[in-house]
Amino acid sequence: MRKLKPPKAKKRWAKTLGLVIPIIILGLLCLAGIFCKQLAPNDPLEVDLAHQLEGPSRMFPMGTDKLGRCIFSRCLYGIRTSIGFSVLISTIGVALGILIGVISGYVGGALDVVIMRIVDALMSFPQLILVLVLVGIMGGGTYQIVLAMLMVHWVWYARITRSMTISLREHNYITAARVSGTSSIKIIAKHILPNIFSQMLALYTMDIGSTIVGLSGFSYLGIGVTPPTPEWGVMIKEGCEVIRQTMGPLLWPSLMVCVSVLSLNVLGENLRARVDEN
Amino acid sequence: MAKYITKRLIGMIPVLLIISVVIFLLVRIVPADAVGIYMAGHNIQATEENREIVARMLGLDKPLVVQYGLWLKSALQLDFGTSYSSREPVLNMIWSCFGNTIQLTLAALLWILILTPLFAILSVQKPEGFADNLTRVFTMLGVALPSFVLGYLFIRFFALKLKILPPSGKQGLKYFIMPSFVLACGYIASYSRMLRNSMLSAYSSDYVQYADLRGLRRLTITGKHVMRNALLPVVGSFGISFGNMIAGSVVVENIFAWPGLGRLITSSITARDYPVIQAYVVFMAVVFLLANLISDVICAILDPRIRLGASA
Repeated sequence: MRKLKPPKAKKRWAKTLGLVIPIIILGLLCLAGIFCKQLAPNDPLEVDLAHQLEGPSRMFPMGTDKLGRCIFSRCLYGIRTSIGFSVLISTIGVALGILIGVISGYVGGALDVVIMRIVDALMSFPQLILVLVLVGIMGGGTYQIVLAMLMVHWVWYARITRSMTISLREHNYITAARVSGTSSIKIIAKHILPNIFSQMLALYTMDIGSTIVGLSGFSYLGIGVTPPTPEWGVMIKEGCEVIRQTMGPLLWPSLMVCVSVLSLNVLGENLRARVDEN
Repeated sequence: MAKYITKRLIGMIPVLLIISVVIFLLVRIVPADAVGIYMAGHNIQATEENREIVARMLGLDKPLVVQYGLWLKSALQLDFGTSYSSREPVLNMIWSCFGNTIQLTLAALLWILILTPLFAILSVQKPEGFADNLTRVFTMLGVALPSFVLGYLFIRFFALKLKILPPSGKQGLKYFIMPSFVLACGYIASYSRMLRNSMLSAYSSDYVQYADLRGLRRLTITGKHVMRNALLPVVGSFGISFGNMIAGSVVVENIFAWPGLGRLITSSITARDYPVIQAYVVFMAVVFLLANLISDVICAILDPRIRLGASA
């Protein structure tokens, strides 16, 4: 017991590195996604049955999938769909959650009760089941999955923002602002939102990561992004189908998911540490 | 305690009613053509006349409120109708699949119960040491690697290459090993991290310092004083996790062709089998509410403060 020392504080350079490396990786990924047309050696949708399930070659840097499509090109175009849609879902979801949470927490009263009842009801189900059911009712497909994920995404953020708003509301400077006649909208915009944003940034970063995993999961189940579209989850699903023959079509898109999610998580954790310090 | 549980059980009724209304409305609002799906599934010719007959048979010609009333009435008698695609009673389908899913979840639970304390104790021995960093890497991978990728890597390695485990299906104990471990993996990762942190903070508390000064053995301290308190937050979040595990089994069951609820719901979604989807939601709601209740009860048993507070 006496030997038990508190964990050493991380070195300063380690902290900086924890921020810089993920940012570089993510930046490169984003650039590759933006310029995927110029970077991709082949058409990601072009079926070439003469080159099925080939290993890496000069023409196909990551080999080909079961329809002879270039995996590298599909991975590149997949950045647009996988990361693009995930960023879209997370951004709108978090923004909506913050908006609803701030209103619910700041206004209070009956509105707060109603919103929180809805939030409680939605949170009593795991998100996966909710999305599954919504998609089950609406039917599968790219737009439906994005819509369904959006519909359940805001809930968690609404709850956090609400409790943050309520605790902020009690601060003296907010009371002072209110007493001196500042309008509610101005108080929210100037005093409450900036406080929430700094706390939310880390959560938002990690949320994009879990959305990437979630989206690819729905594609894997066959109710997400519709197949010919190059998306990592779709590619992983197709790679799983040929697992008996070769690993390539499964490994490459999985690696893309892994790298992007890991960078987002590391970035998020270091951001949180940074915010907590200040 | 009994009073508390009864109160919670009664509290579930309105929640379930609201959920059933919402799901009922959602299914009806969507412009999908239930009659058409039913007729396609039963090879009925799509004439106008047949449409009317089928609509009457399914009770879709009545006003919404009446439809809901009828549905609720038979649902209360545990009759959720028959599936559009398999023509079996929905309840039978769900019930037989649920058994398989629960078995899978319990097997995963076993992995979690064995491995989580092990990892946590190992990494707490020397914070920032080798074991601690190893579990940290494991945790990060557990979050970043989708379970279906892990599942297929396992299939490739253990089933196709080493040929020591069956790749899919459910015929015996051997078939449990891979699916349950893949299902448990993410939870082991996050729980051992959580347990490690709460154990670390328990070690620095006064009562542990005191136990140490009294000269108690380290093992006794860990087991009796640290673990018991450190487990509390873990158990507290367990109710939610149990629900999440049943939800997570959707993916795992699809990987390993496990004949459980997850496979049922994904195939029902693709087939647009609305009676099954509807019953699934209600069923799941009951399961999640019960899981939360059970975890609250376990928490109360572990922590006298909650227990005494509840009965007072």
